[in-house]
Amino acid sequence: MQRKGSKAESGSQLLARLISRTDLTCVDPYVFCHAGPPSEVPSNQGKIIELYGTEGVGKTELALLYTAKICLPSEWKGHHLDGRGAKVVFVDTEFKFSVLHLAIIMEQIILKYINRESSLTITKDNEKVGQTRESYNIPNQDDLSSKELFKPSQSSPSCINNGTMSGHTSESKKMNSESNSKISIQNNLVNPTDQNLLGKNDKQEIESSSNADTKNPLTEEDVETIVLDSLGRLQVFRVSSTRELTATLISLNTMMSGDPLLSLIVVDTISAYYWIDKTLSTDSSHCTESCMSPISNIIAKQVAEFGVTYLTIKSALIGQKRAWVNEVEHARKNCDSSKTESAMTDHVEFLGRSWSKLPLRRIVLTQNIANGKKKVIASCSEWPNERVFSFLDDLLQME
Amino acid sequence: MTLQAGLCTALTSSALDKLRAHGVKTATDFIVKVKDIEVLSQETLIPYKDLCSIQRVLLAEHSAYPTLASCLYEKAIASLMILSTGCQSLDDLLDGGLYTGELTELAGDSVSGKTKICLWCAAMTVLVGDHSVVYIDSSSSFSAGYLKDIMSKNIGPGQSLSDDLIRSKLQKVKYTQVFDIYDLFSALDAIMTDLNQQTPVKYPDLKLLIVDSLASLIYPIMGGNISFCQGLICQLGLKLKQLATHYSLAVLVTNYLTSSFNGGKKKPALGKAWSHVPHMRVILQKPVGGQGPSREAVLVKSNRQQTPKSALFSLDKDEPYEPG
Repeated sequence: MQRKGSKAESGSQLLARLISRTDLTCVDPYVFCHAGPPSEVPSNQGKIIELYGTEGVGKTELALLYTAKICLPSEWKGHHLDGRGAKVVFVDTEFKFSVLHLAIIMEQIILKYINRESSLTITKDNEKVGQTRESYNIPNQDDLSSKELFKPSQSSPSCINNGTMSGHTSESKKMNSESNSKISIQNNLVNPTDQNLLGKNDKQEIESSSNADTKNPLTEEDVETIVLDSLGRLQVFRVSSTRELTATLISLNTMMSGDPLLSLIVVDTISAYYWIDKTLSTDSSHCTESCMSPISNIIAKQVAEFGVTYLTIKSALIGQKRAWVNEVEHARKNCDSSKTESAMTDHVEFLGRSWSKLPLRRIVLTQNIANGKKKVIASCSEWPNERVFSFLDDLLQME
Repeated sequence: MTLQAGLCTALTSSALDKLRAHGVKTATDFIVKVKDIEVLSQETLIPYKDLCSIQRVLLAEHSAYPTLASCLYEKAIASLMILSTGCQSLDDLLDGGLYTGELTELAGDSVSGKTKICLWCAAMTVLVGDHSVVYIDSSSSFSAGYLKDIMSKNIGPGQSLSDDLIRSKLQKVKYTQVFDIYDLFSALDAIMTDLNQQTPVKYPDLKLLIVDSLASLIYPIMGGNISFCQGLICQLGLKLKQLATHYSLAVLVTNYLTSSFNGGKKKPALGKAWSHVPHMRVILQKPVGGQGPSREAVLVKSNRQQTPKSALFSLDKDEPYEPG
């Protein structure tokens, strides 16, 4: 077998090629799967993902959800959390990344799995349902429990207003721990103290009922440890200009070749400096291309060489005004005014040719507000149908 | 940024001349050409090792420094503060109040209560937490008398507001008037310079930055060169968020509402580029058929909560608005 060309391969490239990166497919098969039959040479299709949408539609939210799922461990002391335990790099170009929010998302995911686990054990030994549920205070259904969970959060603003607003670290820490997520955990998890309060007989029964794998219920500290541990797998870069972004992406090369666990790079948002570059450049018609083509090249090269996945976020900076004007003119000519809103939600490419030529999977997010409930609708040309995400207690959920 | 001799030991003036001759003039040129460093070495006859070390230095200088999210988390928990707006229903809407590290936008027509809410926030922050506040005013609508009124109404029972106390509290509110966007930039730079010092002189314990109103500063430069205006807006957004994140400040800005081009519902002004900037966006409006001081606040964008979400409140602090 002859290799195509005679290009030499450096040692690090060889290693990076041989290392198998964490497979992200099961995080969300629609978003992270690779197209094409497995017999073929693995293509880079689906390795660069672009989330596109207008403001407040949930682009960052979705990216954070995937980040959380990938950073969380797959299991923890026998509890299945269904994470990937992989490393993620988050490039924040707009000072938008909120680590507290990510931690809350992680906690909510953990809680969801714990609830599911406990409802499974409940159904397993039916005769103890009443007892177990009473002592554990775990409601039957996921939905029910999470609805109840979030009631305590209403009380958090009042605690804060009661004059705890002081500069001391300890107090603000306390204040934060009073905020909603923590409260939900307290209410939901088995507190060690609660367990001690139970009678001896009850305790034994519970121990026997929690199956043979000697699973201990997760305590609040456990969740905190899992979250901190998972956050330790996330590196955050804060950049503030195109040049810095380019240099940062290149410097990721060393990180990628040295770390097989690094599997996802999130860029939020790739279009942050579009207007700034246009202002700074004397040649405004070509500056987008000259700024974006190095970035596109680096991303394409890293995806091919290191097998990492890129999740980029692109804001809808350019409107549909032109498309709309064209359509109105067209409608005027044909004397019908039926078509006015049809093309309003489509994607508009503005980052230049090199970016549009990347083999990227573009997911266009739109929102649909009905009865005061927001639904995020994701559409992609590769999918047969649109997918709908809804918010359950401020956490994005697949429908 | 142009390459200069002496930036690192390998970058001698002769090497620099050779690089220039091959079109590598700036650091960006060098960084971008990283992929064919071998070719560059053959063309320029600069030793491969030297080019590698130059590249390493340049990358180290220009790339951002990575932080582990777990460290950020510890820091965020230690520095997070939630500032009350002084209005219970607004606080509930905002999940407790204004969070430090975030940019909150109030958008509304005239007489929708934007400035009043800004003043409430300023008063509550100096009164309750004893932090300082920067109030950047572009429409000359600031009123120290009103600040004093709110403070005396919100002071805890059993405490009296002496003149000395009022004076010391009002001294914590740093008021700046700006008349165009460049003034605003220089005001923000001045704040940044002061906060960069070990012990800030002018703004000790600064927690809240208010810009009222942002829209009136940007409207004059709108129109004409689109990319120029949008570039300034983006830069302003970056700077405000940088202040919020680096120094853990809550930033509150006000914006107008504008009609959308196809005659739909009114939306916040300043265009698409700005619309992505705020973390939280609240639209203030009169409730349907509402009279007097009652207002409706609708949270349309949030990085924490589900949107849209609305709350009713009263602009007249003496008579709390009771729905129904």
